[in-house]
Amino acid sequence: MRPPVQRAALLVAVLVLAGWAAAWAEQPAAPADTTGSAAADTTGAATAFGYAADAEPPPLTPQLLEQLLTALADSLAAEGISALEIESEVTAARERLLPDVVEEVPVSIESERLFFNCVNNPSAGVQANVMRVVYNGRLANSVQVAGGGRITDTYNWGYETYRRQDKTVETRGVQAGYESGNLLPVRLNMQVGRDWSKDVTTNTAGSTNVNQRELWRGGVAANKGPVATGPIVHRLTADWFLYDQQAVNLAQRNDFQETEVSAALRSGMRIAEGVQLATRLYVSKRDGESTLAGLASPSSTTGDSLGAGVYYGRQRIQGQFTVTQSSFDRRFLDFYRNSNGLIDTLNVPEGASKVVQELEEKDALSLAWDNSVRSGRFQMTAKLEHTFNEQQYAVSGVGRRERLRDAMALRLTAPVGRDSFVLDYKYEWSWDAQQLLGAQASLGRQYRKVRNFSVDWIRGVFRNTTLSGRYRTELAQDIAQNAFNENDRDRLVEEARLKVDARWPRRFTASLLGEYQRIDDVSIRRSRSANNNARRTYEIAPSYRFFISPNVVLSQMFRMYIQYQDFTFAHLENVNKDDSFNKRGNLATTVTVKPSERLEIVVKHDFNQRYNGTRTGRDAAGRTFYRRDQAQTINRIELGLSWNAITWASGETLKLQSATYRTLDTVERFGTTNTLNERYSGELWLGATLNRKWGSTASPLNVDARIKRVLAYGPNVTNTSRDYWEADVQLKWTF
Amino acid sequence: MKAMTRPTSAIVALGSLVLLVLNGCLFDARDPEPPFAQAIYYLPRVSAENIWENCRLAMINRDASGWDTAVSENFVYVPDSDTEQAYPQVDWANWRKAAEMEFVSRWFASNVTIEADLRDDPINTPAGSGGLAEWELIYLVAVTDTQTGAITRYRGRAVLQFTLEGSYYFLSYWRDEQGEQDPDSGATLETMGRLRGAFGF
Repeated sequence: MRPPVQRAALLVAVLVLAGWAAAWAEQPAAPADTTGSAAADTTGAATAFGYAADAEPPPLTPQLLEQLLTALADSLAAEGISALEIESEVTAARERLLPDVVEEVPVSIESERLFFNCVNNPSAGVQANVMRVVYNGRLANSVQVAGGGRITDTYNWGYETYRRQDKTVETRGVQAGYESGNLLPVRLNMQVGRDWSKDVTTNTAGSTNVNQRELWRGGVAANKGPVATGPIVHRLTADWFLYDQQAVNLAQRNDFQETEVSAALRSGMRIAEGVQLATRLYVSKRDGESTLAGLASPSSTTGDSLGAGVYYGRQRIQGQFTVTQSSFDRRFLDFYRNSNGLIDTLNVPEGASKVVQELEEKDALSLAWDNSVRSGRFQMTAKLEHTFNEQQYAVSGVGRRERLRDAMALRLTAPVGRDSFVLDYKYEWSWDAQQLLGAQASLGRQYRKVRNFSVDWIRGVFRNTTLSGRYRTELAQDIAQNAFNENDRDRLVEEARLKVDARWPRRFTASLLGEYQRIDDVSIRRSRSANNNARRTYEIAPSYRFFISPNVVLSQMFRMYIQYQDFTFAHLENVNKDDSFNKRGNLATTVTVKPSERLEIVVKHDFNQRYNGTRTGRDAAGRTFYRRDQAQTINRIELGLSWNAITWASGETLKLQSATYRTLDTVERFGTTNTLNERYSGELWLGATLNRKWGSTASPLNVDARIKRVLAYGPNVTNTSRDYWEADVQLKWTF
Repeated sequence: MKAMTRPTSAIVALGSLVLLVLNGCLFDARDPEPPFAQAIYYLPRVSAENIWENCRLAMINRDASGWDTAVSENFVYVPDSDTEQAYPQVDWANWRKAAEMEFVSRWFASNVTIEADLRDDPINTPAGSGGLAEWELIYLVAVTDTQTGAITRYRGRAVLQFTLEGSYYFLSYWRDEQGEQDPDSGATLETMGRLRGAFGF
């Protein structure tokens, strides 16, 4: 396990990093960047640790997030950035900021009343499909208390019955909570709850297992902040919870009663304009008694986590650097486990108990750097990550495991004239190793290396016509250090694609796609290499959509694939492998007709034909000959109807729907005796969708229902899937 | 001589970068050792039956490459509820091809030998129609720890789907329903979900 000196070194590294950031920040700041990107990221960095540059910022609510993202998109559009890149930027910003989003807490002006705004939300529903039927009910109540407080209580009930299995699951839950709001110097959140579940499963041999669990949980969480000490702003949380579980599975009891105490301190400071430093410290301790299969023993878990990050967003450069170290020790009762970490009570060493007192220790370190630089219309982004963790068991046969992963991702976006390029390079290097319990040496490292390079290109050739291309290559390598492991292999993928798209909105669209792919599977060890092969695939796919009239649309797509599989060592006498080919053609035709505003009819036909063959020889001119082994033809016709029967208001409709399909699958095998198999399959379903609201806006009753009855036939159909209901019905009332 | 325009220069620079990458040795596979053993005779991937047999061959030979070839890029695994409860730290909701290959690579790299009867009780294993075959069966897998000689058996009832994608059939869906009884001892065994939980950490 990681010694304290290493943790100290990590802390020093964080301080050095902070010093570097401070020094860097002392440089004269560039003129304020008005782009939404910089604004969004600065806000994200600030809110990530509850710190603002000049004033306490408003909480990042979902509405504020959307406003920020819209501003980002608008500013990028104003710079002439392509829609594709804008979408990419907005998605990246959304991912960065989402963890910081908080639900808006309504602030009431009726603070003179002790209790107000009592809201009750009963709901009930049923979901059904071919696998199971689920019934559920829920009652949630909340009432606001003077000073921003809130009292809540929730009751849940669910019952599942399985159609294919002899199995039922019942769940019940009750939770109650109180949030103190601003009444006290700290915000208190008290909770108590009970979760109960019972799973009764009878297997094919008639043996029944009852898996029942009841968990009580109660405690209080205190939150204080922000508190400023000089330029540093802190947020402190402290939790205290009790847990009491009574459970039984496979006739073995698994009970525990434990107390958990935890605390977290998050601090942040502004180093300079657009640069923030944030740190996190978290510690937790859980203690108690546990009982497993009749054996009782003390149990405990101790954990801590230390993290720091520097977040920056200046004129053309933005990003973040984070470092986190965490560790925990856990003492608990467990069943005896073998070297693979699997419960193995049948092979317990002689004289040993099948239940053991286990000690698990785990340390983890992660470093990450994200950086984005923009210069004119060029943008370069880089992501570097390093993670390392080690895990050790005192009794389990697993012993000690170590895992390391380094990853790098570089992206260059370069619009040049009428062309746009995106270059991507990714590299990952990782390994894991295991030293079995009691072994003198490690089994050896299993390395994995993955390199991936891709170029995307798009060019507007004429008005309404674009030409795009993509090239990608990837090499994935599994490398085994020691001889016992034969899993030592490379996979090289290379693909190129060219596509022309022409679009005349509401009249005609067409595209033509050509693609080539080659995959080389290479096993390195001689015990595996006989299967080494290369697969080459060629594909061509033209398609069009013709808007014949405002009510009739015709679309067709044709795809042709041809694949060759060549075995690398097929020429050797001891390798009896035959090269093969496979050809497949597919023509899909769809006609959509809307005879009226309410009715839509879709007719679709899909024709699919493929051949498999084996190489029989090659002539003096180098021509290769193949023998046809199998031909398969699939014809499928579909008809769908959708009728909007009633529209009460926007989003409130009753829709009747129906669809049917029929498939004929013909397989012909050639050989000494030719065989022909014809298999029909099909389905018919009838259903309705209802979305309706009753009552006033303040206390509406909502009904969202989707129901359909499915009738099916064919070889895949069983007794439970021949005739069944699919449903998702939910009733919700607020008052 | 006419000077190149700025966009042309940029295209030339980007093209040079691409060529530099392509011509380098970054994307060269290693040279394999010539085979001395008979190949594993995988069957042509023209039916669900062949794919399931290929899965068995990959399993007993601990050949991750064979498993990779049999499993769809859109693969989904759904564990039985006991497994889901036993391994809450595993992201079961997102168990796709990448997670499956990570599990298989680690499992096959461990110090074990594997015996498998993947059609121990073929409850319903049709040839399918329209490029889809849905099976329900009970499989039996025995894993022997080479170091200790201890044998752990897994027997589970599962629903499988095989789909025609591109030119070949693939295993695209695997849902373990429940553990089944050991035919020898009568004890209720666990599903292969336990292996996925232990190696997919």
